[in-house]
Amino acid sequence: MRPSRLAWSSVLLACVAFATPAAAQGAGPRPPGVPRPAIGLGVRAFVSFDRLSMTASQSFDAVLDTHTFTAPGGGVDVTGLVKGVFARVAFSRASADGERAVIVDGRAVRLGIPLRVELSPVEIGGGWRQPLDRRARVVGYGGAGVLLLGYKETSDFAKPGDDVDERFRGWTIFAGADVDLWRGVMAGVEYQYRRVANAIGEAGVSQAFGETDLGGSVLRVVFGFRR
Amino acid sequence: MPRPSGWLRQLLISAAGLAIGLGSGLAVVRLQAAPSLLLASPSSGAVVSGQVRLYAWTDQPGLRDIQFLVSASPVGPLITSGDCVASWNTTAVKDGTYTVSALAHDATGTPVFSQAVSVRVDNLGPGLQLEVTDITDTEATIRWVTGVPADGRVEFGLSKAYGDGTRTYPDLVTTHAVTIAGLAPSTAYHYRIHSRASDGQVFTSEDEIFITEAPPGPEIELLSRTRGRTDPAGTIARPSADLPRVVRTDPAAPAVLGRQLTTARAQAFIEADARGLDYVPGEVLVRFKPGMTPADQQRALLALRSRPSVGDLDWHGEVAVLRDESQPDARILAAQLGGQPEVDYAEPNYLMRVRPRRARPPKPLASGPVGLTPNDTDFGDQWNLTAIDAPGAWDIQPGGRSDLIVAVVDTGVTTVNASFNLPLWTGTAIETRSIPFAMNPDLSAGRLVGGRDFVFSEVNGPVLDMDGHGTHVASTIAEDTNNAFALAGVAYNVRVMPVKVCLTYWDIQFTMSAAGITGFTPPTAGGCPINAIADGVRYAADSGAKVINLSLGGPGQSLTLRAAIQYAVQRGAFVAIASGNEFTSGNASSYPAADAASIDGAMAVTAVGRSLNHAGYANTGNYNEIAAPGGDFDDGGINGLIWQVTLNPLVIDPFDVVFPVFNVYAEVAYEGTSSAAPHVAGAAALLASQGITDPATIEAILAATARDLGAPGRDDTFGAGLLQARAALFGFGIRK
Repeated sequence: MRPSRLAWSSVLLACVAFATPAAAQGAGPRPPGVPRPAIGLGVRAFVSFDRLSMTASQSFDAVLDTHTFTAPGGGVDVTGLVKGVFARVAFSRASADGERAVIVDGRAVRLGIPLRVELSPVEIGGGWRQPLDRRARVVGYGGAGVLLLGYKETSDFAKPGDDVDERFRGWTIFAGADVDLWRGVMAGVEYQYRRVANAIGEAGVSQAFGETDLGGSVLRVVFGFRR
Repeated sequence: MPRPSGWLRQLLISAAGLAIGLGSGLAVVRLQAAPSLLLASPSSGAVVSGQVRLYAWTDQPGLRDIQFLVSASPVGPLITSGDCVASWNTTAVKDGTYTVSALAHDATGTPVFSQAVSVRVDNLGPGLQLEVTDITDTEATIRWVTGVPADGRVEFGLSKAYGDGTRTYPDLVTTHAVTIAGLAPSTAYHYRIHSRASDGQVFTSEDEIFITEAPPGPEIELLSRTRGRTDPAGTIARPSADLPRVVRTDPAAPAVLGRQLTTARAQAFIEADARGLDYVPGEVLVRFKPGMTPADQQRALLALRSRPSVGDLDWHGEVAVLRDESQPDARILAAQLGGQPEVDYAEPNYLMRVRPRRARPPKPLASGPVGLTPNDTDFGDQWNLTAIDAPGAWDIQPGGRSDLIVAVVDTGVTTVNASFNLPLWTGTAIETRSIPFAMNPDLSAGRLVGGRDFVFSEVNGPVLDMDGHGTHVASTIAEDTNNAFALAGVAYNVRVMPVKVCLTYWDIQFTMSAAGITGFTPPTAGGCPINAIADGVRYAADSGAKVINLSLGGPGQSLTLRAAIQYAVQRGAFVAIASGNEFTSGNASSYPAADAASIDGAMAVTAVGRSLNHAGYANTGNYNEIAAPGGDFDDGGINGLIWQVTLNPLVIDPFDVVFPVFNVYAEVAYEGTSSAAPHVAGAAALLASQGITDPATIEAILAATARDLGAPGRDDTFGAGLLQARAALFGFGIRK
């Protein structure tokens, strides 16, 4: 799939870009005057603001009139596990209100029944962090992980069984960079691609559109600190 | 004219000495009696004119003489030798019925009589083509045609004695028109015409009847439109006692008669029934091409043998009804007219049928809340509403908007509580009785709106259901619900527009009896002529109906009706159409249902039984679009049918009663696609109440949310599947 290739290519490029300085870090003598990068375990804690664009754009547009969400969240990276290797746990939450609909000739007919959609993804993964300057103020990173996606649809007038409250498993890959603004306070941006296959598409408007993926693309802005 | 075939048959039978009937029973009897003199020509019942050959035959030799007799008077010479043949000049006698026989004597002088045959003399060739036009409350014009130039004289009166006078004129013409003025309104007049030709020959018609119109202004006063609750403890035969009914016995009884259903048309319906026709005999619908002037139209009409005038056309929008009694085969008329360059199309005025399939016994109206939601007493019998998840739909849209109108184009839904003096044949005489009508006690009077009758009574008069089919359909759509009484309907808050387009037994029987015509109408006579249905559909759409139910159909495909349905859809009305009950009798396509598949916004509705299997009677075909409960006696017996409140059949069934009463309602079980379609109409009304106003969108939603039955996806048995009212209103989320 095209997004997948794009995402993997991004990760690969990031890894390649970071790999060479990492090797140099361990092999050669440090030039005079260059501060010593942090060695050993570290923590990178952050709050995040995601702009999530769903792959199943037609389905979300049909019901919510949009397929993008703003998702606040947060997470922790444990860095320096082995050299630049880090582990991550992060979460976010997004929701939007719309109306239940029927697809008629490819267009959505809203029926006036309020519907709320909630997305609660949890990322568990890891990657490689690599300073991008000599003082390691700017650090790039890339990684992948498992995505546990909590998904809810709740409607007015729903009977038991009508609403959805399920958790799906997918995967995510990401790449980004952060910068140390002041004494460990950092900000960063990250791109993430998620895929949650076969979570939808067996019923609902997603069936009409043939969309099955509850994943999407995420542009994430993070603020936090790193030690 | 002589009938040699009849004669030869008699001869062969006689010669063979057979006493078995190869011919009529009458012939056998006579041979067994060993007649010695047979009148071979003319045959009994023959219509004769001009010179008629009289021919007798005998197997007994030695007859001395023979004399032919016409109504006991000698005709021709006394024959003593040679063939037993004579000639009778019928132009010397008046048209009418005569008895022809022969009298012979044997050698001893003993008289030998032949059988007597009855013949009718008619010297008018193609017929008088008698008709009455331009009937008002005080005038009528009688028109007829003679084969030769003749004068004219009309006798008329309140009885066959014609006591009210005559109108004459001396001119010798072939096309005659006599206007009679000074008539009483709403009155049946007998009349007879005479024309005398220059050679002295007189043409005389049979006794005929016309009925004058009522005077302008409403004659049937609506005294009360409110209603009370029927006592549920009453018996089936007990009238709805609490209704403020029978508020007046209308002295102008004929006011409801003869306005649209003339005697001639009633007879046409009877003829259609007798001959198994699916069209009104002698009626065609014609649409001329755009830009055709009256002169162009007249030129096209001249293609018909009767040479009708453009002024005789009965216009219904762009389509005109042509009535041509000289050619009852409407298919021939349509073919002749349709071939004219001025004509867009011509088609028979097809008869659709409501074909009620009702079951007995009915149940008395029950009341008292039950522990269900809704609390209608016998809601537990309505498996059909559960099958479409109507209760779930009501959670979202409780019964629909009260300003939304659903039109029931059918046998009518009674809109008055009143009695009318109406004449009926008792079997021995015609008696006038006060016949009570009442509104459905489980359909609030305030929810009836804009009723209209296109076939029976005056256009602006009350709508009277004399069958119960229309009322049953209306009850499925909109019966009062959650009122602790009787049964429930799908869209119980919407308004119902009764549009009467179908005639049934009592409509015709009242009309015939009012005309002084004795005898009982065949119970199956009636139907829904296309012109009335089309008018009704257009009227409903123009009057604000957002949903129209058509629980009727037939094998005739009508462009006129199709155009009317398309018009209604364009005006924003969704149309639900029963797909027909002929599966076990050939499964022929039923129209207009078969047209619905190609009209976005109209749906052909087939039926399922209680087990949600295909109802055994329901048509299958590629035009089926959705299924709904229609009931099936073979699937659950009486509990597998569709129960709704309607007229109690026990007190209106022509097989059971001579004087019906139309103010007794009961819970009655039906089966048929007639009962399936109103479920879809009701669900559409709920959707429209939610703001889904485009008929095509309503159709798409109903199909998309149907429960798939049978083969995966759409199939010819169930269409898209079983209607799901709640699902249609609830729609879809992203995942479910």
